[in-house]
Amino acid sequence: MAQIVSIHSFRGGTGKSNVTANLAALLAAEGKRVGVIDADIQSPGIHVLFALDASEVRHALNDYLWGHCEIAQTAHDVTHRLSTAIPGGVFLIPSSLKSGEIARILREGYDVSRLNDGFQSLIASLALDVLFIDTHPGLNEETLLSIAISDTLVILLRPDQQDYQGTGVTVEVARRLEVPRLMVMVNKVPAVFDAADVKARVEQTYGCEVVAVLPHDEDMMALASGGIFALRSPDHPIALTLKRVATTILPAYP
Amino acid sequence: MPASILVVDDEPDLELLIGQKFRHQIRQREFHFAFAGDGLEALTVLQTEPTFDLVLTDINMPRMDGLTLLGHLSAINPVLKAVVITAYGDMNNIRTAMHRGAYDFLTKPIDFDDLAATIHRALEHVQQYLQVVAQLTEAAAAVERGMFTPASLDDITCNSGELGRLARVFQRMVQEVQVRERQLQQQVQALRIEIDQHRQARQVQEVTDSDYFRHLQQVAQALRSRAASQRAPQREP
Repeated sequence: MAQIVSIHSFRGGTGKSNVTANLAALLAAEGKRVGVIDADIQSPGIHVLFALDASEVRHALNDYLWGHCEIAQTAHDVTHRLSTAIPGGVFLIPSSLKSGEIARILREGYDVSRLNDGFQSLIASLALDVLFIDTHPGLNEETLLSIAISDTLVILLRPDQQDYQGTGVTVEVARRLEVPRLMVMVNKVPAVFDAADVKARVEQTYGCEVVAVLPHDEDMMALASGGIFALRSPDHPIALTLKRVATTILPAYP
Repeated sequence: MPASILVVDDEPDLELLIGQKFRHQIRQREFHFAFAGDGLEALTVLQTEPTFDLVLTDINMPRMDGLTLLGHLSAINPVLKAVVITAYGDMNNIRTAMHRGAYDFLTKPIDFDDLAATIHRALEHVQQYLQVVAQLTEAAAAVERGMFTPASLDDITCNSGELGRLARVFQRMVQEVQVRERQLQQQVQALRIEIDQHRQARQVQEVTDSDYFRHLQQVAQALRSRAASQRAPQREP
């Protein structure tokens, strides 16, 4: 059975796409077949981490949602674009990067239920072990659907007052949707904080497991979305933490 | 404690004259004089007794002249001041002496009132220097105790000399560190997780109180039942 894992944050700028791309690549490095859907239709961005240029996108998620193509046609095999040769595979389903198409989907909407059909079909046609959904911040319809059908929901937050409130809302909504596994990751934590203290406080606040407390890191910032950090610097403490998170998400790994 | 002055001259008469002219200050323990016959002897004295405040030196002497002696003084004691005694109008030696760090010069024949005034001024300069150093040292200790107030260095920062510049840089660096510390403290306070429960309940209701959400709950439930039934046969032996 493939796992569906939504990576979500209530606010933007938490490093959601970066974490998604790294977890996907780490699982693929262990031989898993991993799908990554950029469900952030309004502001897509994860393609950059996989070095996929807009001109190379044949069919985007938007084309599938409008009924212009099958979901499998939107999958781009980006495995060979990773900095390290890996035994598994990473298949990226990008959202359209064309501003006209983004504007159109926001204006006209789409049949959200097609998303669910697409996810299931994608898992079957690509024989995926895990499907990551990089969601849009907030709780719009496609994000709610992604959360609803997920086996695991990973909520990212920064140590920021607005994030705390929004994360509380997401956790409660996810509970009402009976998501089987709920995990929290705290990202971009200033060095002045004690990671164990942050973990304890956040777990106490939301009553769910904090799988990682990632520091605000200059090395990672320096990469500036120019690739998959955990593959480029596999021995870096952040890479090792992300590996541990990947193990938690897919217990059979490694 | 008397101010300690080393007089360097190869003419023994000067020792007698100084003894006479400054008899009162010596008795009052205001000044303590020691004597050396040339630059080399002076260096030996300064190295064995590093407590001198001032060197009063002639230029032309056997073995080591006064100008060469000047070149060694800052290495022995950077606070030590030197006053040079030259022949009247000997501008070349005066210029060289000043370039080598002499504090002032006197011309022969020595005017002892002028010498007394020069000694007082040089000693005052030494005192001010030591006071500034003490203030900076205290400021560094205050930084370590976390009690430093940048304004405590204001009267030194306006000095045009090297210590003034040191104080300005020190003050600026500490201010920058204090600003960073304040920012970090604010961040630490930001970790206090405060959630407005009423607002959260309202926000959750806005999301969940809709037909769409109820539909999603059904979709999720159906998917999970299907997944569970697919998994079930795999558990059979």
